[in-house]
Amino acid sequence: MKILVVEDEDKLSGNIAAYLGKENYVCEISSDYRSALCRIEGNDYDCILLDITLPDGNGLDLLRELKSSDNAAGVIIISARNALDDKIAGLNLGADDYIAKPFHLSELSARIAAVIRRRQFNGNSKITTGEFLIDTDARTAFVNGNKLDITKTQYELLLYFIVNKNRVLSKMEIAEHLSGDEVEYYDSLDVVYAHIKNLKKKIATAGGNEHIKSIYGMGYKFEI
Amino acid sequence: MKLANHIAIRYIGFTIVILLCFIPLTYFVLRAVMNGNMDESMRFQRRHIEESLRTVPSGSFISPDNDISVRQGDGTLTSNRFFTVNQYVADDNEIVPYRVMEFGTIVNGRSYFVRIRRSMVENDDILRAIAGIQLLILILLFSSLLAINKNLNKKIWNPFYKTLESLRKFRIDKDKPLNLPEVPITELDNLNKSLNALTGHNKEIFQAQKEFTENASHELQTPLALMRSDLDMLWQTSPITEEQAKLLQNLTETNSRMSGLNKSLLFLAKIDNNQFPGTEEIELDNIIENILERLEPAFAQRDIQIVKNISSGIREKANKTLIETLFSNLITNALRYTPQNGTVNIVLSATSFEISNSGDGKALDKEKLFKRFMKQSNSGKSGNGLGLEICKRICDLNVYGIRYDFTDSMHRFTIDF
Repeated sequence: MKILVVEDEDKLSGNIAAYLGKENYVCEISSDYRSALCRIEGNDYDCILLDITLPDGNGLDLLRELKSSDNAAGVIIISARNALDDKIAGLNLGADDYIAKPFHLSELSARIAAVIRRRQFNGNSKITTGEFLIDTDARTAFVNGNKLDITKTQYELLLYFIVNKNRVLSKMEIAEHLSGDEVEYYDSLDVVYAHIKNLKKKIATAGGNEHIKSIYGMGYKFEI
Repeated sequence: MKLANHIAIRYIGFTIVILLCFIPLTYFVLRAVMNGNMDESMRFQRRHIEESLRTVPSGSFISPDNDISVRQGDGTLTSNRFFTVNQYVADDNEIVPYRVMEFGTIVNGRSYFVRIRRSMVENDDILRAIAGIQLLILILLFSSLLAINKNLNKKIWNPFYKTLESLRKFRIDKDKPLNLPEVPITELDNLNKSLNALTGHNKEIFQAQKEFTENASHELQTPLALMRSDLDMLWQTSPITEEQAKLLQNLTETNSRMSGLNKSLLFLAKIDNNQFPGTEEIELDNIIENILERLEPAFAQRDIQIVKNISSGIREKANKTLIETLFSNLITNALRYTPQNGTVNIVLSATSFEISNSGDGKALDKEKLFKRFMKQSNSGKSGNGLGLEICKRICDLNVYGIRYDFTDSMHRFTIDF
């Protein structure tokens, strides 16, 4: 999987590339509009992460360019401005998703996985990891062939764990993933704890092994 | 009281005082003049009587109308004596005031005492007429003053009232400038110009401050994003000792709090800048049920009982993001501050939304409640101090009322649609 990170903050793009590199993504970095345009013309990417504010241009223009040349890459807009207008404009121009700074790398990773899944329609809507099978079309999950009787939120949680498998995920980033934009308005660590407890119970009931590990009681890791 | 009326009342009061002083003055002056005239004419009559007595010597004589009486005098009085007397007139059955002149005179060696009188009834009629005319003038003066006053109100004061009205409607946080028009009256024109300049300047300062909040929040997003990605990378390193993990956890939480705060500030700035313009028909019960569903595990975690009475099909025309934020803030607040095993009541009707939760037995300070950063809890799980202010702003924007009360150990927030 090839990913282009168009971001003028070198430290941020470096961290993104490093994090995604561990998930078998190949990341290339462009820190301005011009070099990004060059790379897009010469390469096929599965997903492009696009910062709106670039030193020599607007990410939305780059998006227009991409769409007019029928580029097949999925696009996730990254914006520091978190403005609704940017979001709407970006999605209207054909971006697949929008993520506002600051974001957790695990969240970005989950979004990228979702975009790539949606782009690959050739029967790849199923993810298999260990004894787990996730059908992202039907939004259902199976353990050893047994369907898990889980809520929407628990499904999201499991998918998030699987996409970010073998990584330490803090309660905070899990909470932010589950509640979307609104996490800043309440402390939802209790919710995370409750959801994980229920999810673990349901996986166990369906005959799955214990994969979700508590790390020092402060974060979780899906080990597989 | 209107300024014009205030002035008019003083005018009218002053006029009344002057007129009240002048009516008796006029009366006395006129009376004196009339008496003088009568006395003068009676002096002429004296000469005529003396002339008559010289040619036709007479004894006692009384004219038929009783106005002239001549009788034997004792020679003591020679000069004229004037006075006024009221006398009963049997014919008319009334008391009539008379002006009387008495004098003694000696004609052809005979001494006479003469008394002449003149009825003053006519004079009184004249005086009465004059008083009437003065009263009429007074009434005319009043009514014209009132008319002028009304006219003043309408014409001269009109621009002033318009200015007042514009000022009353003026809001520094709305886009429209004050823009008072030019008016022909110098003072009012100066007032309008000064107010235009004053409000314009204030608006600029307010705008700059607003933009500062928004820009500062925007600019903070990038360093916060860098810090967060660094923290995420740090989490992935190994080995992490328990001590390091604790610190990392704290840093991650602090970063989250900062970005939460930042996002809330940005959210507020956006409400202020009217960046949530779109409205749509929203089913409130759906939104509330969705929020409750999402938070259900958290309520269950702390054994908080939710008693809900949510009518279905309640629709409001508003911005969806704002309405979701409004309910989400109130419900998560209730979640945050309800103790273990507590109760949260949620009632949605066509006219209001009500959420109450059990809490410690102390009412919150209503004054501070909806102001930013006015946290009233030391429980350590307080929010960022902006949640209720955001609620208040959203309610203001949608012209909903929001209020708080504390009864039967329940904290209650009510929104009136």
